[in-house]
Amino acid sequence: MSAVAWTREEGLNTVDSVPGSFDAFIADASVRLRRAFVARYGVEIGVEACSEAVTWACANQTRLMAMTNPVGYLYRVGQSSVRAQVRWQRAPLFPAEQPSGDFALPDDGLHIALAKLSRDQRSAVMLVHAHGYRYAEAAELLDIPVSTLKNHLNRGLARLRRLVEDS
Amino acid sequence: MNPDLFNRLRRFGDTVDQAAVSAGAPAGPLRDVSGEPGDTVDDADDLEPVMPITGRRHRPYRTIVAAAATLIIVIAGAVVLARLTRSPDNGRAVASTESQSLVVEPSETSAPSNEKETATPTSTTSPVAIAITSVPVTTPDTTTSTTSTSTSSPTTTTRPTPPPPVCPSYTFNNQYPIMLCNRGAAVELIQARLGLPADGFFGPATKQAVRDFQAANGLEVDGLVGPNTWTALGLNPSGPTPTATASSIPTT
Repeated sequence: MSAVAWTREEGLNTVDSVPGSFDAFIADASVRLRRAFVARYGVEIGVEACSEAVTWACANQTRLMAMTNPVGYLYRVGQSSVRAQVRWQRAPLFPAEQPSGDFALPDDGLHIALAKLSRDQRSAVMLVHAHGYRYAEAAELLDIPVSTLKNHLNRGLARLRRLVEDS
Repeated sequence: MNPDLFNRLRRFGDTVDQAAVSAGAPAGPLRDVSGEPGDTVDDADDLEPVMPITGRRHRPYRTIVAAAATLIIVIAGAVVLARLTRSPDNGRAVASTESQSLVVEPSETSAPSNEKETATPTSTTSPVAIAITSVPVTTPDTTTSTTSTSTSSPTTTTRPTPPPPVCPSYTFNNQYPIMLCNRGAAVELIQARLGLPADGFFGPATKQAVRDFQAANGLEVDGLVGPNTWTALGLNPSGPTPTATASSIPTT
């Protein structure tokens, strides 16, 4: 894995706010939460969960800022808000890979293979390997220990490799 | 191994990010910036596989609501049916004492009470309505007088049914022991001796009468007519046979 520094803040709202304020926190957390929820539930429900979590955060601002891990709590809030919708969700739907000129796709099964992972494994794999978060950041976002995140990563990547090679 | 997997994953992350942003992520202004007509087509292409989710995720509620409604209807129907079948039983129990011996040898086994309705207009219409008392039909103490011949009619043992239909069908039997849900000429003889309307069907009323008779005569109270009860009733000691029936049909 190359040590490419990805721009994590792409897609971020240009909120002209003071660093450290609640608006800055929401602007940063919403991007991370959106990626985590989209990785977990697919595009549409993930976006909806993220908006629910952000709405809850704005409504419970003081309560949230007193927490040690507010982003992890918001991740829980978003999961609870879409629980009824994802109860019978068979597989999350992701957009297909976009081929580019210098990169020919060996197969088109990556999004299908990702959809076959479990939610925890997919969240870990996509946050760490697709979006480039560090282990500690991803673990804080998912509100799990780093060792658990590594377990999800190892098993998820192994399964992903098998699925991609089979396809 | 797939060395390109991480590279693909990184590209895929960007693709997902774009799709999420265009799908209405908190980065709302970015979506508004792309206000060209062609973008809507791109959005539709990106969101095309996502659309069935909205249709799919509401389906469980409909299924649950439909299942609950069906369950409620079934339960209500069962309750109504139970009440309808229980109320005629009492009417049958009262009315069955008036019926006279019209039936000598009914051949069918399923609907024995249809003939009785002709004689007693007060009786009700349910053919299974003879049940009033849920007397345990196979008591564990039915031993001494009936064990010798109990193997002769293994199929006539009454099954432990719920109260409404005590006897779903009457089995012809003229051998010891004559018990609940039997029919035939021997039952007619027993009923005639007990002072019941001799219709030839060993129902709960007949069984209760047999039990009363056994209690009154110091016999074992089991509701079964074995050799001891048979002789105590004053019937032919040689046993219940169809030939003995024809000679001694009494008038009640």
